[in-house]
Amino acid sequence: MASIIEMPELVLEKIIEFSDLKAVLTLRQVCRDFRNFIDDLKDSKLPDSKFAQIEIISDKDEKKITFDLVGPDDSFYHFEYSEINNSRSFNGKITNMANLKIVDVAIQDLEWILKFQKSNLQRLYFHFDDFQLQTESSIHTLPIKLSNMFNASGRKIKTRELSIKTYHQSQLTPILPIADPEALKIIDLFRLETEIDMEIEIDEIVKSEQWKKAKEMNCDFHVVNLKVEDICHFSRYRVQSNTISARDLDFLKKAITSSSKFEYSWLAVNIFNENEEIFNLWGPAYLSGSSSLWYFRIKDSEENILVIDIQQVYNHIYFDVIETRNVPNRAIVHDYNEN
Amino acid sequence: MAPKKNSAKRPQPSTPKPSAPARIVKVQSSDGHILQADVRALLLSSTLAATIKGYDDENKPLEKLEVNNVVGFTLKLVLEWCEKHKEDDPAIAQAEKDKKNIFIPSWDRHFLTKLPMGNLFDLITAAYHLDITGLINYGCKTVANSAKGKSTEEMRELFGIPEPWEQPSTSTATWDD
Repeated sequence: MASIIEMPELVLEKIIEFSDLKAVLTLRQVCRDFRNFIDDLKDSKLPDSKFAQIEIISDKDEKKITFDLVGPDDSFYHFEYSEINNSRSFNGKITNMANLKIVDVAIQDLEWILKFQKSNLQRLYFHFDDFQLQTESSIHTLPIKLSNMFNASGRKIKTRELSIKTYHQSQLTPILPIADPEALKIIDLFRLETEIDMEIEIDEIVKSEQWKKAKEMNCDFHVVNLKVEDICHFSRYRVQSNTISARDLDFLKKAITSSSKFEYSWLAVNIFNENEEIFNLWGPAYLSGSSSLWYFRIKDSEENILVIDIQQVYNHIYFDVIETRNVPNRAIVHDYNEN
Repeated sequence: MAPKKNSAKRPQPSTPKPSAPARIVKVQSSDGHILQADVRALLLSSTLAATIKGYDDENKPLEKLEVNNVVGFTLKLVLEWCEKHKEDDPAIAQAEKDKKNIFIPSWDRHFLTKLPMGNLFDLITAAYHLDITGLINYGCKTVANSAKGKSTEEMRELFGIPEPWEQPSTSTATWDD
């Protein structure tokens, strides 16, 4: 015997299990029998692609979708789907897609390649620059079609960090549920550089398991009707809103001083006009530059102190946990108060 | 006191057992070649082990084992591998049976990589028929390693796959069409 295709199926299965993703992709191309054999294998018989990062980018100007996958040992896979040329380019090989829609081809490819991903990703990054509905282009349907594909298969992606960069919340809401909530630690909601003061509502997002279980959240959209109850479980967060009340700041203070998990947060508001109320609640501040600072003891902690820094000039509000010895001498440290 | 306690715990060097004289039997390949092998080496093959047990249970003298699906050249390689591994702990092979990452010991790596691909395929297929877990694993891993970083053309040549005989279809969107 001189040909691999005459080997027993169990042996071929084992060879594929021991191979790396790149070799399996190449093997699929060597002949039709091999391709059918590989495509009929159960996911558990496929090798782990061990991708660390996957980036999915749509670009309305160039009318294209790209996938960049970074694997172990600096292996790198680049897929590009061009609507203008109606083609796919994979690691330099260009294929004409005839009468197929490139969005559908891209999603089908992604679904197939994700069968190999068994380890957790470090980061999954979406960049949707395609919201404007252009009648002749179907690229704007990518987020919703991705969402449909994941819903249909019941598959979730295990990733530590999920980043979505876009300029409309209609492209955030369908994507968040793609991430496996057990693996997800960090949620990033980023606006495209060109969009300043873009507003989003997070009423739907905050109900998701992904939101509730994540530890860190970074959002540089302006959140309309931000509710402090929806963000107080994060250890770290960055968020912007129109305004915040003294009562809400006090709620956050209470939540943080009674928790040992908090690390830091940054809150930017357009208007903050409850200075008087906050002084009534927290007493006189320690002043340093443009900062008004308050120090609070944390429940059951001798070493750490919560510092709240309201920067009047920029309307930035920082919450930070510092070591007790770093509290300025003249500052008042408020005792922990259960109520 | 402490050193005493330690030394008491240290495993005692076992007195070397007088090794039983090797039990040699003849093994005949499908093309009529007759080879000789130590029964302990043959026990690595689950199928041969069952045959040997059958003889022993019935107290029949075992003079010659017939292996009908392996040719002499390949059988010789199988026996060489088994001879090398006849003293392995069977638990190791069992533990590696379903593992995704296995390590090929240096002797095996050398033994397997020097073979032309066609002979390696025959050896793995023989190991499959004779159900020799360790040899199947190391063989498959060697094939997988040799495929790393190869282009489509290189793989066709390496694995003896003829040129594609079918025109790729355009009806399905898979990335190699």
